[in-house]
Amino acid sequence: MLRVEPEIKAAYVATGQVSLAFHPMLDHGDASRWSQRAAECAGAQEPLAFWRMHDLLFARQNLLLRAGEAGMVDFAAEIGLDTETFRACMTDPAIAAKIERMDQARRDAGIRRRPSFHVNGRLLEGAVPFAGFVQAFAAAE
Amino acid sequence: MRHPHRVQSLLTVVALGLILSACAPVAPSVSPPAQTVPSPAVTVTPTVAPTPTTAPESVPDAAVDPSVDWTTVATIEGDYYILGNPAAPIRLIDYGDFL
Repeated sequence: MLRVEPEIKAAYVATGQVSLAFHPMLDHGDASRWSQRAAECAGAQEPLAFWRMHDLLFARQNLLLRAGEAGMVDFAAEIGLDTETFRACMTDPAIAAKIERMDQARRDAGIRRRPSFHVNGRLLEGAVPFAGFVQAFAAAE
Repeated sequence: MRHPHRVQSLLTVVALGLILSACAPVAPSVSPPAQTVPSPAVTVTPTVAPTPTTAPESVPDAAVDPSVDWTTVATIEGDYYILGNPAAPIRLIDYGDFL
């Protein structure tokens, strides 16, 4: 979705026609877990900060395998979060449990291909081009 | 002339009246379009109770302000941080990994 997300945001999310949610797939072990915890802990401080962290994590994708917890705290500082609160959140068992539960839920639902999407419950799999989303949105209305 | 002052006063009043009427604003020659004429205030009574949201004070009302940029609005719904209009007719869930 990374490639077409800006287009979807500009054409559909900004105008109020589509709302967007992100569901974690923890396919890269600890690196996936630290990254998803970072997004969750950003959101815990301010819902919109989840999306600022989401965008930053994708922008720094090449650093994530080695970033670890310390790297995530640096990202939190970069987007203006309270780093002490963020650091405490990163080791909160409730956050860890939440992302494991969400990951298990998508496995249970048979969602294994990355990326995958639900458009009002209709499953799309793989790197869907922008035109594919336009078609799916039109069908969902 | 038996009452010269009365006649003079009368003439002054008449002259003043003529001057004032000449200075009065002229009515517009073109009537404004019907839709620009202010209508009497109307009280609209909602027929549907407002739906509560997770953070009502921070979620704009699209019906009130259609110029809202919904990419600046996020709300919490269950496990999700929802970006955009929480009442949007379409929900896109992105299953992914940041790596």
